[in-house]
Amino acid sequence: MVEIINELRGWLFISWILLVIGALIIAYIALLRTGKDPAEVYRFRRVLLIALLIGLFLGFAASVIAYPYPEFRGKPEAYVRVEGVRFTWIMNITVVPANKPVAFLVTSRDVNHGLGIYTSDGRLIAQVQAMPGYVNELIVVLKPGKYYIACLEYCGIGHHIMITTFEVR
Amino acid sequence: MGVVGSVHVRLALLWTSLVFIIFLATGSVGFIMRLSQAGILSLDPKTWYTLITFHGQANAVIFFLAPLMLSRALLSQYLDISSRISILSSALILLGIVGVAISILLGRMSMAWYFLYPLPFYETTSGYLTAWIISVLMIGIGILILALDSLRASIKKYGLGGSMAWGYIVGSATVEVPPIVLISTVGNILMVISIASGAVLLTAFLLQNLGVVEAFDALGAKNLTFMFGHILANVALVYAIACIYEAMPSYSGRPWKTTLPVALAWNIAFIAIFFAMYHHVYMDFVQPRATHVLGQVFSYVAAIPALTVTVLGVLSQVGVHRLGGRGFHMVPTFILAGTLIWVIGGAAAVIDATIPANFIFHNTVWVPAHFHTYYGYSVVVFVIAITWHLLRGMGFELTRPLWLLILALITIGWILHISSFYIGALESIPRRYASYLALPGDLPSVGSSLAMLSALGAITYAIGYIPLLYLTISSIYRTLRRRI
Repeated sequence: MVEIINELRGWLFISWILLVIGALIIAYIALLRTGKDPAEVYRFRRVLLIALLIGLFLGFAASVIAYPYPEFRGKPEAYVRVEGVRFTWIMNITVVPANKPVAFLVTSRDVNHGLGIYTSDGRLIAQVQAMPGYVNELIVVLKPGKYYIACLEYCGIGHHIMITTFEVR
Repeated sequence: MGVVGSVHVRLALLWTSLVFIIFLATGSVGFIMRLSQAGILSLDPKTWYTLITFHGQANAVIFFLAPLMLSRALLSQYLDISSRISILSSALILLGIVGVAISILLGRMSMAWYFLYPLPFYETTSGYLTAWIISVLMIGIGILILALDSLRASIKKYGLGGSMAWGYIVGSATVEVPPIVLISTVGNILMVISIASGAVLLTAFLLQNLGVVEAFDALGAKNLTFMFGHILANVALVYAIACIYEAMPSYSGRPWKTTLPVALAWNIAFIAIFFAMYHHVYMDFVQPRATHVLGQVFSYVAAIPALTVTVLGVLSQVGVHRLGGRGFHMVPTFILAGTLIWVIGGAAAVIDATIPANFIFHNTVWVPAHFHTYYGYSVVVFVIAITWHLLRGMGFELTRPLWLLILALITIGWILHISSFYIGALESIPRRYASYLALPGDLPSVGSSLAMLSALGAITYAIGYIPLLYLTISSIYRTLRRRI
């Protein structure tokens, strides 16, 4: 899962760069074509519209496969209860089983927090909100190693130190 | 232009002067925050989070107000909008802004710009919270009155269907509706929804603060917060774009009228902007799944009219201006630059509105990356261009090398500045961290280096911005003095 997420991040960044380059090329072409024949612009608009519709539809279809919600992730084989309390995380266990779907049941005792799971080399691989009065279920499959939980929803003056660790074995 | 010297124009120019000056302060605050993250200054966390609260709330308000007041100035050519209401609302909003600034800075309120419930009850004291709520309500009521006044005037002249250009869609348009009327109407209706949800939320805050209720639902409050904040941030751009549709034909010589595509685009945008607000709650897995899907679908849909009608329209207008041999003018050039950078930020927003991408970008610096792209640059540059469009009607022009130099400096500066956020997101750096030192791996050193890059970009931006501020303010001052 970690490798896929890291690759996804890279690909998303590349696709953003490609979108930007594409937009600049479109801008260049549009600027060159207008003025001489206004009808050209409208033909161009139709091409752009169709390209956008196809691109966004494909993007949407592909994204649904990777939805992080529990109903898309299969049945968990272990559970971890995590509660956010300004400015710490309380976990019922700190050793989590490796290579099988584990559900993090996440809530908060006070304000909104964000549970962000980081690898020990500092890569964000999963997140879910911790909200008072609600339990969000995040299902992940993790390789053995040390992981960090950092707060990802601003929760007050100790937000940046609301970080804890857990082990996956 | 039939609006030269009117009360609405003068008021808009006064507002933009004030906004440009406040931006110098709010921008400097951002710069100080980045220096602290870079380890050059050392701010204590309470101060840092108070400053980010001030930075966010002040910028969100001023860069909403500038496009709003400019659009009303241009709208007054077509609609009988009330100058008395403009002045009264301005006074109310101004009082509110002073109240917000005083409560945040003196009360050291550190709840960040969107004050997510129940954080304000932990990060502020009761007295300052009450003062802040009343001040924000004053700003909200002021904006609501302005939106309702514009709606009243446009419905009186064109009817609701006419103001929304429905006649163009069903093929029964008999009266020509200027695009600025259509686009402002879209913005105004959205703002009524936004202010209403903000007012409900703040009233609940007030009741809890006064001890009338003990607590209310956090998820419901979050939905209201984003219905308010998301619409506010988007409508700032809507008002700015309304002005662009109005201004561009003065430079290209080609009319930019409401047509079927324009009418369709803005009616689609109206719905898309509203439902796209659900992209803010993707990481609340308990939220009904249908709203997540709606959020993603409408965030994508919002991109279509923006690109195929507005962006293409700006490009075509600039193209005609260029080929028409009318020579350089700063207004279309600034609008072109703002539009291209808006597309960059918009593409980043579409990526973040994709649920699996949001899973690794939500609340990382990708979020400030995309909104600094089109707030700190596009909206600012649009406001500058439209301000100068109004000043041009009063006889001001500036020479080519100076404007290009200013534009180059703020563009290069801002690209450096925002690239620190985009690269930061690629490195998994979270947003709103007073310090990166407790993060794992190489994030502490990467975070502080990127904060330094960000600060250097901001300095370059400021080198262009400060002469621009001087030129604009002094020209506005001379114009207003001459007219009185």
